[in-house]
Amino acid sequence: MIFICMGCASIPEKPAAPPATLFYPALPQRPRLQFLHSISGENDLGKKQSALQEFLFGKRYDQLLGKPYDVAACKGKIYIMDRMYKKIVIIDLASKKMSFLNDHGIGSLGDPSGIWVSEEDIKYVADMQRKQVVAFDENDHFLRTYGSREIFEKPVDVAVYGKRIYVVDMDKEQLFILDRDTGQVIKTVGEKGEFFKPSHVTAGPSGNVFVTDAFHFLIKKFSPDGKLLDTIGFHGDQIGGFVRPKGVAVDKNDRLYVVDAAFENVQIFDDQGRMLLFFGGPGSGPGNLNLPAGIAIDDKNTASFQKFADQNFKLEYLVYVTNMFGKNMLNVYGFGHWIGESLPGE
Amino acid sequence: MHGTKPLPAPLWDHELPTQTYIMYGQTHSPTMDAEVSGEPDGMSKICLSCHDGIVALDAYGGNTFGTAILFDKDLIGTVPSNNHPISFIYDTALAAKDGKLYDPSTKLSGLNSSTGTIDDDPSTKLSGLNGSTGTIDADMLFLNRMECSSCHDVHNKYAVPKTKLLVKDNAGSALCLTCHNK
Repeated sequence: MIFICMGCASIPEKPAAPPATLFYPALPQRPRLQFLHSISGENDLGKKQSALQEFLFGKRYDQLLGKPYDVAACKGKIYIMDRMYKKIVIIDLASKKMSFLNDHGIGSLGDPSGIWVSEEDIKYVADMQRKQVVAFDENDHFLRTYGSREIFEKPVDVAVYGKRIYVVDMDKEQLFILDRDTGQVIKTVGEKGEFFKPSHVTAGPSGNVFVTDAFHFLIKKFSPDGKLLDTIGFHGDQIGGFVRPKGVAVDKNDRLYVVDAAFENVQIFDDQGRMLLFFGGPGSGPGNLNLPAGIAIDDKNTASFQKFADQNFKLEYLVYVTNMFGKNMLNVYGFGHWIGESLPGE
Repeated sequence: MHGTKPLPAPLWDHELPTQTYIMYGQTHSPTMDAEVSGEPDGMSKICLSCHDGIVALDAYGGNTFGTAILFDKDLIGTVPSNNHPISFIYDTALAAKDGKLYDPSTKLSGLNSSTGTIDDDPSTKLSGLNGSTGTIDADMLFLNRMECSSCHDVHNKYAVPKTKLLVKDNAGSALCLTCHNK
């Protein structure tokens, strides 16, 4: 045993090759996104174990994500809804640690799917078994619930904007608007046949709400009070189409990000519904996606990832995409601005 | 929706070589890609892109490892949950190494019963087609790989009564014991 350990210790660590910068689109076009990093376990958070610790306690186990489905973030933290554990995994960027949110007692999660985290670090979790949205406070303690078995059949995702909570119910095929304080249903959107298995919801910076209408293969855009404003996309494998649309997110400029598990990519649309860019793509290489599902945009933690960015690329916000399979569980991309020398054709 | 009019290129990427996306990593055709990824490949991704546990029933039954977050990294990919792995090569070598699996190149699948036809049309009999020997390899594997459809008869080709989309009746674990020699 000792000899094996000594043998291991004598093998020098392979020096890490400088990672090739992966931009979307690639240079010399003006890059808009850069793939930054993948997080699959605690070791990917960059905490170094001292040689003494390793000698005394052995090599630290990696804490691993299982099957991440949805993702959300607030300052200092990334939250993963992990379908293998059916728990929320908290990634603490400051302490570089991963842990479970300790849901228990009246706050126990049954079959959680979608998660939304407010700027105040309130976690809202859609739970298909409880048929409720369960909220946890900034200290990860149970706060309250929204809805009941009388209201929801299969609540799969939740978004919050101001005093309103938006919940998509995949079986009732409706979008519910609830009051955040009273918990009362203000409005129900979706006549029979209007949605076909809605699966994800997000709210944009101006309060518009976007719902993935999964088997209509498009995204529906609603005003804050639930008036249909627009649809984005169509069924098909052409640019701008959808085959297995999943998670949605909106940035500060009303750009819509849509994950597709069939293309294994993310498409970005402007506020007019025009396609801007897609990124990811199938494979197991850096930046590739493997049955992706959830997405979140985060402008609070760019500093933690700036070290992965090209020196000529200034990050504006981060884009997290979860992969349900493969070795790279959470992909982190940076949306940013090229500040290097001028590019040809511009 | 957009008719036949060619779609505009993405506004931020004018050098796009294609107007269509690759679907499911484009490895779903059994004539393509024999790369050993140890992860679900195209023909199982078709299933898993809906069977994610939310949109449709989880392919892995929704069971979990419990509350332990520590487990062997080697299991990632090949065993995405504590249920049956997929997209791995199952061949004579694996059977020999494992010791509790039949050799798929010689063991008969048993899928060629009279029920293994569509509407009792003998020409639709699956086993024995294309010079098949009726082995596990011939009837159930795809480029030597175990996939979702090795056991799941999603198009009901075999029309086995009372099997809920399985290629064969699992009474007495018969489907399991097709490959597992326990």
